[in-house]
Amino acid sequence: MIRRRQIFTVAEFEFLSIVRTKGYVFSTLGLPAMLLLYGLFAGWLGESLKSQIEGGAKVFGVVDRAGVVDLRQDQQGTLLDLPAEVRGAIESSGVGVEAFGPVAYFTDTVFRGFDDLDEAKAALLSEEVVAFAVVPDDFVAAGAIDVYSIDGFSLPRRTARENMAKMLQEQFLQQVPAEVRDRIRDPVSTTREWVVDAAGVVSPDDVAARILRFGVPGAFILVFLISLLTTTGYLVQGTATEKENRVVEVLLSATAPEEILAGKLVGLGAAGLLQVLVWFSMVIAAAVLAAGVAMAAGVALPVKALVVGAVFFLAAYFFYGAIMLGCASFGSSQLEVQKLAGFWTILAAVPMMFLPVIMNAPHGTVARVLSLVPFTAPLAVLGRVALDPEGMAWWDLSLSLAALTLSTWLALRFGARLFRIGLLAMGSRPKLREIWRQARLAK
Amino acid sequence: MIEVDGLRKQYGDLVAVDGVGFSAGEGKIFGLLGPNGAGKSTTISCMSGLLTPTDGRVRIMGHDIVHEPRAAKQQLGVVPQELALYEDLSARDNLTYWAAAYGLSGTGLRDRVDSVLEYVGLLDRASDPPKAYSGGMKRRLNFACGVVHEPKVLLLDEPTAGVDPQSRARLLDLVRAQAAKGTSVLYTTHYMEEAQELCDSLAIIDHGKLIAMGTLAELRAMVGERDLVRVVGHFDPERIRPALAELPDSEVLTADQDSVMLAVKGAALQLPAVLQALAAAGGHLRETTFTEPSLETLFMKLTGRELRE
Ligand SMILES: Nc1ncnc2c1ncn2[C@@H]1O[C@H](COP(=O)(O)OP(=O)(O)OP(=O)(O)O)[C@@H](O)[C@H]1O
Ligand SMILES: [Mg+2]
Repeated sequence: MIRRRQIFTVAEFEFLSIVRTKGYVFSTLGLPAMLLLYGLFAGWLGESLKSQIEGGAKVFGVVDRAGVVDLRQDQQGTLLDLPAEVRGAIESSGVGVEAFGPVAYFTDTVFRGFDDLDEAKAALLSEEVVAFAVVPDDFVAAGAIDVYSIDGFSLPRRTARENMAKMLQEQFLQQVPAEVRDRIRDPVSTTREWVVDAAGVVSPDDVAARILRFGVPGAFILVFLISLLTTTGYLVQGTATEKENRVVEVLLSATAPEEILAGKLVGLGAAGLLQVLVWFSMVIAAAVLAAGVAMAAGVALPVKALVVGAVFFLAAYFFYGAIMLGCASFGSSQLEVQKLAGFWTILAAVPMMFLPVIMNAPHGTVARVLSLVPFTAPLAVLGRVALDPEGMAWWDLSLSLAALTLSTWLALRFGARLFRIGLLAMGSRPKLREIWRQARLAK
Repeated sequence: MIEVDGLRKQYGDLVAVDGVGFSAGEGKIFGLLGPNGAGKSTTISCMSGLLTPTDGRVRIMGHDIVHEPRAAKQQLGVVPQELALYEDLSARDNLTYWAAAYGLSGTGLRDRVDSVLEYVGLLDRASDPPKAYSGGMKRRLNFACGVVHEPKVLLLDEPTAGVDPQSRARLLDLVRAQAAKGTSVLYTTHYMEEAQELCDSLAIIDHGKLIAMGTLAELRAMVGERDLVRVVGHFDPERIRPALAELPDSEVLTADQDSVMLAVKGAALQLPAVLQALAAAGGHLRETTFTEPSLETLFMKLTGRELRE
């Protein structure tokens, strides 16, 4: 008989002691805040970098011994192949040709011709150019150029070199008919996708919708797994404490091991769940903004997946939690405990490997089998439901849940036995055979 | 009421506790005196239900610890040898947790926690975590955790280990106060002074076996009137034993190259003869001490070893 009062006492204690730690508060509230700040910062940084780069064009010298470049005057981004009327329209609108990124292909670099090496060197030393390139006689055959600069790592020099390649490409493109120039620059610019179904009906494949349809379940499963791992992580962390400060010795004189196990599972599970909820509500708050977009793309909110996810999350948490606690109780230090539980953490993540299989055939044999194996069931079922909410029959779902519930119950019982032995095995770690013997004897 | 009968605990091949039996009535303090590794902590762990005995039975207020663990544990308070505290939680939070674990709640719990804190003299430091405490204060808090639920039976495992004389005196007072309230106390220690000072009756344990048991007076009688004489120096044990055997009313307890230990009646008068005999047997003497009959003498007599090595 397990006393609910005792479980509650332990659970309340465990919950409060983890929730009050700085680490918990930080990862619950701080992490999303940090991510937000980071996003803002990255955005700002990107903007400011862009404006810096666009700020001033760098001058790049060229000594053309091969005679492939026409640099009688400085070159800086041209609209080589725009039809005359388009070019005229743009220029007359006052926007400036630079506004058209792909066409104005090297607006941040000015190429300036030099007659010989010494002249270019002098320009480099007087900082007139950031770098210069020598195009040797045999360039057309060999494709090699020599680049000279003062500081070998400067960023402007790097982009200038890329632009140099583009400029050369454009120069060579002048030698082929105008119609094929674009195809050489970008051989396949768009792909239109079509799907042919079993009846031979051809319909356009909506890439955006497909990404959302696979992306949402994928993200969902990832969040599920991360939540599971953080929550069980708290569990493991909480076991070492008692072993290290030897409080179990007293705790066990007031409370049965099963009650401690249950209390820890409930208390730390609640702490983990709270964290997941906070994260989720932040994500949902952010998603509300993007929701309109998703709806437009024909993605329904995965309500069924959310419900199934919550139920299976609890079952998975208790399943893995009980086993992990049982094993972790044999460690006598933080490090040992982590090692003992680490195996199960890895095992919990393994189903991710099967995800492609499940995505391919959500209701195929592999997916069905994985849904019945307790170690893989939570992720497998979640993946199936998220991918194809209507495809998984209720009986199918119930069968999986029944199998997982049964396994969880067994895991709880087995975990409690291990926990009892582990907690009592102070100091020396008992031999495997001894553990097995006691696990069978324990009532 | 504590009743222990034929208690036996084996770790693999090692018999840590071997047929231990004793009892302590209401308001009585029973002492378990023994050197390191004698089996004191193992006995306590078996009594508190932490370990399952290999054999024998333990009854706490009439409840068998193995068969009625819940009823037995409800009456039981344990103060372990090693500090068992959450170092980062305040003293009050530590006590509150134990009190709740033992089933207290609400205002009853809060009042009880405060009164225990006052009882052990930590009320003014109640909000500090144990990591900010001195060794003696930690011991007192450890003690408080064991009595917060007012147990009828209290198991104390060397509760004064490593504390200063002042804290020790205070802890011993606390133990006496518990007994005065009617609690049955089991007190283990390897300080014979503590055992002599505190216990109504006691047992000496060595290698898992009780080698003597009774009241202090009974145990003293076992030693007889003899004092303990200890001589340090350089000896040849082979020659010394026969030489000393001829002395009246004396018994060689131990004799090796560096020291000789004897139980001697009226040592003050006999000492010259003892020293003479030793010198005559080729011994080089450096230092001599003698003490009146004590548990130390008894332990020495029974085991041939010193209590604290
Ligand atoms: N978990 C264990 N596994 C194996 N042997 C153990 C275990 N715990 C204790 N022992 C052994 O049992 C014997 C009794 O140990 P115990 O801790 O009961 O001694 P003690 O009287 O409390 O000593 P101390 O005064 O040092 O606390 C020792 O020989 C010890 O090595
Ligand atoms: Mg001990």
